[in-house]
Amino acid sequence: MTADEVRALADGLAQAYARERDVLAQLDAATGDGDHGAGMARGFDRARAATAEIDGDDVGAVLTAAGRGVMSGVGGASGALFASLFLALGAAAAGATTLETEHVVAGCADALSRIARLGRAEIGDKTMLDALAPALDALRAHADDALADALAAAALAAREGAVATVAMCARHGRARYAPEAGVGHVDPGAVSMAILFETWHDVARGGAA
Amino acid sequence: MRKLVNDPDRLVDDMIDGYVAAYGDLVSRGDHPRVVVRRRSKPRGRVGIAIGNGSGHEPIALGWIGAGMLDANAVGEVFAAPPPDLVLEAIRASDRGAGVLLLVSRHAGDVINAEMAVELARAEGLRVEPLLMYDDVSSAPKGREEDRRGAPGTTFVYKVVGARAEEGASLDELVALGSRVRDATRTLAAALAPGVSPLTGRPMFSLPEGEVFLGMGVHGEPGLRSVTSATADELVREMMPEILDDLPFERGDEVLVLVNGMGGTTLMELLVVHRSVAAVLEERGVVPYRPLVGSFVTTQEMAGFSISLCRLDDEIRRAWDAPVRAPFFHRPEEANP
Repeated sequence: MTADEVRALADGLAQAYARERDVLAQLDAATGDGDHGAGMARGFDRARAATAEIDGDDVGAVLTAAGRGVMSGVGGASGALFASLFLALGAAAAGATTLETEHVVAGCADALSRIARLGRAEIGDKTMLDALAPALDALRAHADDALADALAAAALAAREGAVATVAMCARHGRARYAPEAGVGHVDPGAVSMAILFETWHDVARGGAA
Repeated sequence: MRKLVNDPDRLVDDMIDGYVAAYGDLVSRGDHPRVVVRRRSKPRGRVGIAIGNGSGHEPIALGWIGAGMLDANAVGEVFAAPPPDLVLEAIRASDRGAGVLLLVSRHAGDVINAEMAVELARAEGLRVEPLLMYDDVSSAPKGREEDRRGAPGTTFVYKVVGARAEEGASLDELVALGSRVRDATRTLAAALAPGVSPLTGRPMFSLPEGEVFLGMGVHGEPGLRSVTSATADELVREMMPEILDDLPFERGDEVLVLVNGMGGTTLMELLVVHRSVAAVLEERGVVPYRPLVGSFVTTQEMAGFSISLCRLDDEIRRAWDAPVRAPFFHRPEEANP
């Protein structure tokens, strides 16, 4: 992906989260306070604007700008964590003019450990990590493939991971206080992570977001 | 339920507009429109006290900006922690060359955003130390105090570190003092009815009619158990042992007392509750010192209250007595005994 394609990704994510805003709000309202949809829509709108404002063909710089936009726009716990993913991708791809699979593997690996540390969460705790971790495994399995192919596998794995959170007990955030710690409800952060990889795959293969 | 909102997307900005317009002699907007600072900064060479928090809990924390308490507050969206870059703005605005103490009430979003803000601030060469605050006895068992939530007992930390920072205490001294106040503080809340979100107009959680939930968090996080106590006396008698026996507070201890209303409980009721608290303290031989009764940490019109106690020592007592001039916490010099 070129820097302009990363800008198109930010645009696609802004559209995707605006479209899914009410669905995410309803999922969040089941176990949390229902502000996840509004936060993601606001944050990725900010990310789209930030990537449009930054010139140049350095994909790392554009991803970092997206991370700063997400950071300032989402709020709550999930904003800082989604921002961490883009900041890690930006650091992994700093100076490159094309985003390659190896950058994405390195960035997602760094983001996974960073999100786990900041959120004090482990895999299986019913969080966005439960979508990000299988996506990373899929990316690693396709490390030698073109980015669009690796992302196809990652998007499927992220969605399966998100669906699997239905059976998990929440140990973090407000969901841990929900009846039976949210068992029976999908984790909205994991769903948002799946949407991210699905949109990314759409943009990378040149389709409409 | 109908609320007085112009535009939900501008709710927080409208609130800050109204606040600085009313109290412009004491507070003003910082460089960032979501950061509120003192009108006159404290002298250079003093440690700054900053905090970020979700809005909807007023007067905390923006009401406590002023001489003797806070220097800057990063104001987040309704019930959502402010993002790292906004907390960073509050850290910058508080810095008077001697470092900044960043107060963090222990809730997932607040902790994550504060930690990222601290990383950003340190990368800029700023000296900042975060102080995690947790006092809610119902949110994790004894022995796992550091897993507990921040609750209204954090008031004691704000007041005490704010006073000592004004007097010139160092950042290291303030971290140690703030930790000591936190570790000597315990809080338990009772929820009678939910607050209503100003964004959705809907109650934030539901409670069965006639039941009172002990330890329920301000966003509806469940706590210890539900009770059907009918009177203030019965409820307080059910709550006080959970607080007293947790630290434990012992015969002869002197304590700060806070009876905090959550927004929908009247001052009349809070004073009745305080009467019951004072009676239990007397029976236990625990001596209250200059208690505070009022609605300081609220969740819209949520009905209920919390009881917080902090064991005193001489430094904490002097800092509690020290003058404050903030819009919603005013303790004049001459009022001291």
